[in-house]
This record gives sequence, C-alpha cells and structure tokens, in this order.
Amino acid sequence: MTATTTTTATPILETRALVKEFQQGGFLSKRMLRALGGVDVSIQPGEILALVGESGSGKSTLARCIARLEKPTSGQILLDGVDVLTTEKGHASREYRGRLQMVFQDPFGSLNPVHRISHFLERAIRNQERLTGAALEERLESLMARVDLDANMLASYPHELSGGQRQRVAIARALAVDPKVILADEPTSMLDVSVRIGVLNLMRALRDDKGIAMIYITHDLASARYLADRIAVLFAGELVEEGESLEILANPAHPYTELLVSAVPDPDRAGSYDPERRAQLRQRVLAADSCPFDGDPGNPCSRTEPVRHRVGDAGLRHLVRCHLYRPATAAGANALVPTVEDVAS
Amino acid sequence: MSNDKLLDIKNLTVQYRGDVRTTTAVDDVSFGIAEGEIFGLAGESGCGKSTIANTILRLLKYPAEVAGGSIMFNGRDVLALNGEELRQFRWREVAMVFQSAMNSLNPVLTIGEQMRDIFTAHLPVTKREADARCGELLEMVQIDQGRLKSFPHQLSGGMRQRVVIAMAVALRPRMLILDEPTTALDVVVQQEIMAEIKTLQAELGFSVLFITHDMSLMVELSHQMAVMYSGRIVEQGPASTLHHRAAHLYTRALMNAFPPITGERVELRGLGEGVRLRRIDNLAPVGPNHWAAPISDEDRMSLAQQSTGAEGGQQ
Repeated sequence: MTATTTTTATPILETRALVKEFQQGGFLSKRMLRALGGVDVSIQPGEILALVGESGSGKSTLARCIARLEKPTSGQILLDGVDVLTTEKGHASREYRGRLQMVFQDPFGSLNPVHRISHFLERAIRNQERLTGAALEERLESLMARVDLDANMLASYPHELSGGQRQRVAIARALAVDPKVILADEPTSMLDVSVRIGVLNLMRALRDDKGIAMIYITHDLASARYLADRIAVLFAGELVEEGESLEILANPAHPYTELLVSAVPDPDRAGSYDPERRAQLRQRVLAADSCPFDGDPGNPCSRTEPVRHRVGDAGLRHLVRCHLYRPATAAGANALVPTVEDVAS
Repeated sequence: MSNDKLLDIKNLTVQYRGDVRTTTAVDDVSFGIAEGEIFGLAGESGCGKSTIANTILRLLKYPAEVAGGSIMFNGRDVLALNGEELRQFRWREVAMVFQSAMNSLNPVLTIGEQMRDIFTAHLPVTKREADARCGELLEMVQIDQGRLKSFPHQLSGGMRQRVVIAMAVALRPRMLILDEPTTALDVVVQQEIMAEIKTLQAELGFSVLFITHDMSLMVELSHQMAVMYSGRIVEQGPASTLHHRAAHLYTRALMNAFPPITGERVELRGLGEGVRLRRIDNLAPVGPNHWAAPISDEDRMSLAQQSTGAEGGQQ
C-alpha cells in the first residue's frame, strides 16, 4: 500500500546516545533515575517511525527531549545534520519549532477552552510569518480543509467539537508552520474507536502529500504496524530492536518484542496466552543466558556494550540489541530495571 | 428468551431527564446472560453501555430514570428491590469492576483495610477471619499476602487492577460486571489481567457482563456479544459469528476500526465522523441465535459509502 523509503540519505532527525536522568527525591537528593539510556534513533525525510514499548519504557521522555520540552542530560539531537543542543543551548529557537511540531495525547487538554479554533491556528501562523486579512483567512481555510474539517468550525469553541475533531485541530495547528517533522504522542488513544483509523489515515496522507516525517508514539502495536514504515521498540529507556514494521512484527528477534507481539489481542489466535512462556520471555528480557546471534562477525556479543546485531537482509534495516546485554550493569545504581539478583529474590 | 437466564433484561429504557430535553440513553434493550456465560457489550462512548451496567446495580442517580422495562436476576425483580434487599444484592449477587478501577481504591487506606471492609460489612466474621480471607484472595490473583499492608500508590497499575478484581469476587458473586477493565493498562498487562479473569471465571463459575470498545479483546473473551449504538442494540449473537459474519454495517465498521497484527497491510476506514444512523429498528433474526437490526434505506446509503473502502481493501 505504501512505498517504504529505503534510501540512506541524511536523516531529517537523529538522536545520538541521548541520555535523560531524572532526579528522585528531594532537592538535595543525589538519587537519579535513568529514563533514557543512550538512545540512537534516526528518521529519514518523509518516513513514519513508530516508537513502541510498555508504560514507563521511555517513549514519551524521548519525544519530550526531541521536542525540547525536557533538557537531555547528555547526547546529541541532530535536525538536518545540525546538533541543536549545542547551537541552541537553553531552549529551542523559533526556527526549530517551525521545523518540528508535536501533537499531544489529550485533545481535551491541549486546546484552551476559552478560545475559538481560529485562535489556535492564527497564533501558530503568526509565530512564523506575518499574514493578515484575506491571505490569513485563506490559509486558515486551507488548513481546515487539509485535516478534513469544515471551515465553519473556525468560529467554534473546543467544547463544541468531538474528540476526533479536536485532534484534527491539534494536527492542523502543527501543520500551520509547515513543519518537516511531527511528533505524535499517542494521538489516538483518547479517541473513540471508530474515529481512530481516520486520524491515522490523515497522518499517512500528510506524509504522502507533504513529505512530513513523523514519529508516532504508541503502545498499540497493531496501529504502529498499520501506520509506520519502521518500528523501534524501547525497553527501560533503551532501544532493543528496530526494523521495517511488517518484518519486525512477523519475525521479532528480541524476547521483549516477542512479549509485546504476543500480548496483542487477536481473535484469530485466541487462547494464545501461555503464562509459562510469558515468564520465560520475561526472564530472557532481563537476563538471557545465550544470544542467538552469537558469532556475528564484526559484532561480538557483549554483556556490557549494547551491541546491535543485524537480522536478515540489510534492506530490512532490522537490528536487534544483543540478548546478553544487561542494561542494569551499565547504568549501575541509576538503572530503571532491577538487576538480575533483585529479580531472583 | 427463556427463563433459564441468570440475568434477563427486557425492553429496558433509561432516560436522562432535563428541563428542556430528555435523552434516551438506553432504548428498549433486551438481552439475557446465562449462568457461567461471558456476555460482551460493545459500542463507542456514549452508546449507553455503562448506563446499562449502572442500572443493573441500581446505581443510577438523578436525573437518570428507568422509564420502562424489567431486569430479572435469578427470578427476582432487581428494579423492585428496596434498602436492605438491595444491600444484600449488591456485591453478593452482582459485583462490578469499574472503569478506571485503579483509581477506585482509597489512597489513604491500606489494601488490607479496604478488603477487610467487604467481609465485615456483608458477613458475620471477625477481623482476624476477614484478614485471613483477604490474604487468600490476594494469592488468588497472584499477589503476595504481604501487600495487604501496602497503600494503593505503592502498587503498579496492573497490581491495583488485580486487587480490585479480587475485591469484586470476594463474596463469590454469581455475576461480575466488568466496565472497560483494562482501558488504562498497556497491552502486556491487559493480556495478563484478562487471563486472570478467565481463570477465576473457570474456577468460580460466575457469569460476566463485559463492557468494552475493543472488539478484538471482546471477541477473544466473550461467548455471546451485543453491539450497541446510541442506546439501541444493533446486533446480537455468538462472538465468533459476529466476528466472521457480522450482519450489521455498524458492527462491520467497528470490527474494521482495528488494524490486524498479522497478514497484509490493507487500508482501513473506520466509521467516519458525522455519519450517523438515523433510525434503528427492532432486531430481526438473521441466523441461528443471531439477530441484527434491519437498516433503513437512507442509513444504508450513507454507511455504504463509508464501508466500501474497508471491504474493497480486503479483497
């Protein structure tokens, strides 16, 4: 249905060894929690990348770091090859915001109830360029048309719109500045089931027409498979596997991905839940004794380094972190997951 | 339907009455649940499924009002129960796991104190006996007894959900109402909770009224199911029949709203916004044990445009 991009041009957005640690406890506390442990993701222009993982796996932290709503502890964020963390210290420039926009999970909370829809779009446009009168009107109407909303709704207040319509307004607001990348953090999870597909289809249409790259954050693997070209799986703040959507879900190479895939409800394979298998998978996620990619030339297995093995054809861009790697050992006391000894006790 | 049903709802109509207008949230709905059966009630937000659950437990508050119909549970008229009878009925006969159940625990009491309440309120037991039974209950949902001393915030979302389920089955009710029990949980925990419910159901043999909008989950768990739209049931039958041979366009649209995890990637079309069924007629049989509402011509036209995309894509 969609032509997947297989080019290896300069990524529009890239993170290198991105680390985010949160302070725990009081003001003077030295206890830190490592929410992101060195994440490398890259996304090509016009590509849709899905970030999946359980609650607490660091998906949203990663998105918030990229959107510059959080300051990463270390690492690099490259937009069009420029490390924005060194060129724009402190907070993001207006120019950065013009190229990267975010759509949030809750369309009820992300639109101020006292303003009309036109206000949200006008403000976004005015931040980037001076438009008035007829030209502004025209732009507003074209934005509304782009997200399949009636132009009459510009005069409405958020409470007069349904959840799906509100999320479309949030998407229109992101589009107003003509961004190159849109970060969407669970954009459909608060919507009614029958309108979810419509929002996903809209996102895909925007990619197809305007070549906007998207990062789609979700815990719904089926929708990630539906929308995204590529899926990256996060566990405990680290990337464990990534690859072409269909390939990675059909042939998960990491036990954690396998765990996620097996948990998706699917009537056609009802009764597939096996508690023993689940326990085995969990054990292997935290403390595998062997790695099926042992003997990978050039990438020897390692317990302390997050070595990435290639799975299958290079064209599939399917990479998996070595099963033997123990994140707890690397992160020390700041680890997000317990060490193996803790699990056993 | 015959009277071998544990729960038998006939022509139930519930209205929310306002000064200016009255909304009919549940409109002439009839269904029954047999002993030990898992019955799924599917539909979008606002279709009236939670109102039905609240009506069964008599939790409706002003301005909601039962405008007609009957609810029989085990031969007794639920709508006629008064004070003490109602107190006995709730939790002992029918218990409920509420939507966002994780937040239904009291944050300032320990798990043990809250669970003990159930026993001391409903049974003639001492505190010590109650505590022992609380421990057993927790073990039944695979939580360590030591957790009785924990406060809700010390437990993960999945564990809190297990506690709430344990509390619901504490008095061995004959029926359990699950109102979107896993909506706030992620997939892995969701599957474990559903498996837990299945195990408990097999062990204790209660009936289940399972309310959700997740069709895949519902088809996987339920025996029988009904699909609601704006207060009306549009289709009812065995879950597998509805999954494979849905008769009503709305059921099909709802089934098509979830992308599959296997097979070809095909373009789906949900039910578009703004598309509304205008009239829903009474259910008519379309197969053995399978009923669907006939679709009026005008609705057929507007819905057909929406669903052709989905059907075309699957060929």
